[in-house]
Amino acid sequence: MAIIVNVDVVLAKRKMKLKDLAEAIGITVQNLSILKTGKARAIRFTTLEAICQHLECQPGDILEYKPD
Amino acid sequence: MYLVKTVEEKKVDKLKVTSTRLQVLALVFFVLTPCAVALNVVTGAWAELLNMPQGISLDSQQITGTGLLVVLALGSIKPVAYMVTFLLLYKLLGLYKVGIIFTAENVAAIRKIGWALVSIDIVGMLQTVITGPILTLFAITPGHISARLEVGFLIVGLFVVLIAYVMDMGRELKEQDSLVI
Repeated sequence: MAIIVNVDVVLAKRKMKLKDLAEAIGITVQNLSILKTGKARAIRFTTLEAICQHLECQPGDILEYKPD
Repeated sequence: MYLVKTVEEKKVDKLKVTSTRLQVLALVFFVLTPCAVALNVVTGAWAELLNMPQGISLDSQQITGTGLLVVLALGSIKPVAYMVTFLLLYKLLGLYKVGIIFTAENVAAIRKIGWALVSIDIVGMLQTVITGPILTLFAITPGHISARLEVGFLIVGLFVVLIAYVMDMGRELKEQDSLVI
């Protein structure tokens, strides 16, 4: 898919674990893993907002467009 | 610590409770069906057992040995179709009971129930048609043939098959929804 999810990159920069982020934003680690591995079909604005809030970043840091 | 259940969890709980009760009911009917056949045999209610037309009667004294087996086989056709339907219903309710709702297994179970319902009427009509000639062949009744049109279960069954298709679409939506984070 042309949309790349960079949650793991931002997490690494913040030295934060996936589990901690999942707990902080109130979603399961499994769902966050689906997002991280690019298997997700869509992301809710509320989820994106929560991720950006806790990682103190912009949506553009999380999502990236790369043409196929 | 108090756990507050969401509206969805409450609905699933209600579904589980209702399914458990209905599963017991399906089991009761599954067991009662052969009992009803046995009761008809014991009381000599052959006409009810074989769905025979009015005016044709069976003398219990004449039904012995092979004749009895033939009557039992003919009389068991429709009850077996009922039992298969109850068994399939029991299995489907078992899935609902454990919270399995939108899965391929459920869709298959609903579709099977639909076709089982359709088969009740088809088997019933077939039983009515073949009963006369077979009983005549075994010299149990005087020569007769009858036919009956039964479409109640057939129509309901076809609707259930349609519902299975709708459920399959629901399953796909559920799968897609699980990938929306």
